[in-house]
Amino acid sequence: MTEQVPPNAGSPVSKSSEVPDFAQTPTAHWAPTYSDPPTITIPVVLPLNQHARVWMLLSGVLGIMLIAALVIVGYLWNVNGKWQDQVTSLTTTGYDLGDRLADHQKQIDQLESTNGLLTDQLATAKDKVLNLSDEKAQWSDQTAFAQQQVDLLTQQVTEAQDVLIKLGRCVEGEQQLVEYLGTVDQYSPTQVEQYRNSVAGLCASASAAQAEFQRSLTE
Amino acid sequence: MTRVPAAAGFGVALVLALTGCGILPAAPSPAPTDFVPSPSQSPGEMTGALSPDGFSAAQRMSVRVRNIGCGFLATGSGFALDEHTLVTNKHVVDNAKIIEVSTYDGRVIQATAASTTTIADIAIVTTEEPLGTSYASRAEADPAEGDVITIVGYPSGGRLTTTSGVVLGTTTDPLAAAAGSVLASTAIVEPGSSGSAVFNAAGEVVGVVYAKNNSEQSFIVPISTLNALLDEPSLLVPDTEGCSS
Repeated sequence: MTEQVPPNAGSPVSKSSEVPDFAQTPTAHWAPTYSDPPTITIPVVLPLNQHARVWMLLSGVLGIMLIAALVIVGYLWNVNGKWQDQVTSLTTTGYDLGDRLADHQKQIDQLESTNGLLTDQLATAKDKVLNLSDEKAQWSDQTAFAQQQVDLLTQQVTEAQDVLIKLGRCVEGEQQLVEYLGTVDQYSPTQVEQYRNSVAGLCASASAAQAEFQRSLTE
Repeated sequence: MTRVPAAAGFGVALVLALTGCGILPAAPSPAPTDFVPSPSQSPGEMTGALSPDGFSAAQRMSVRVRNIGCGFLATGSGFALDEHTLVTNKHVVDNAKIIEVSTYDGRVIQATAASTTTIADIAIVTTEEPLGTSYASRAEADPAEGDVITIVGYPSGGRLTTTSGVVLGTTTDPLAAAAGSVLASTAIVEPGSSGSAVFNAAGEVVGVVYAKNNSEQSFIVPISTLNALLDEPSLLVPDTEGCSS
């Protein structure tokens, strides 16, 4: 067991535990005997000089730095590996995406070409639809107009038949009147006159109907 | 005396180590597994998406009105308000015995009733059969002077036609038949265009064509008048079908 003596306490010595403590031992029998000095073993730790301490400190620091450097190198090695793995993965992904992009670009070109064609076809189809719709509308107009004409002709035919019937009754009346006049001795003059007036009324009605019919035709 | 420099050296080394870790490159974060972004919008949701048959909404809502009267036949235009209601001009359906409606794709639909008003040249016609799938979106306000308008209708009873023009401003009714003011525009219309819908740039209906003059100017019943009529059904009187003479 040794004790480090502070450097400013004189000569740095280390004292062994076997060394008697002369300072605390009564000095009754003590007298210096120069012929027989006590044997004292004092291990002396030589002080390190300043350079040695600097070198030790430097060695320690360098050692720590070496360990730190090794840790850092290991860490960087690991990081580098990971980055290289990711670069490899990304490069593969990049080539894959590039291939897919090229495929898609090719598809886009084809689709654009098809789209252009379909756009033209759609425009043509739309034009055709509008034309057909217009033709149908025109035909419907003509049909409606023709139906109106048919209705008008039907009405005119009906009116003409009515006029013809009235004219026929007029003619029949006139013929009957002629017969009555041929055998006038069989009827009284009053009867003949009444019949003549009746026939005149029928013929007047027929003439009026005919005039109205002709007027309707000219409208 | 030797403990202090050792501790200092250790501290310096520790600080250097800690600060050194800060500038060391980090390991790469996990790479994404999918680089293809998901589509943010389907083609059908995009503005101006194609219609099912290639025709625009304005074309699909436009109809051709055939007035089969007593001894006459007249044609006009109109546009669908909803599945069974369309708007046209009063003078298009006047004295009608039968009203038929033709759609852009050639379907012919029989009208069941018509209502007219005296305050504007407007008629509301109803049908039993559905008119189609595209209906008018009415604007809230009338177009301003200088606004570009588009008219879709059947001029001269012909095929469905689209024409454009500019609103010239408000004016009084040249026929002196309508109450309030009407709009004049440079869009060229023909007989048969009456009842055509007038669209603004947003595709909203902003008026109804009803007349033209010799200067090739067209006249339009503004959408405010139509909105007022539709908001007040009592202003519309059922039109009795049949021949007046």
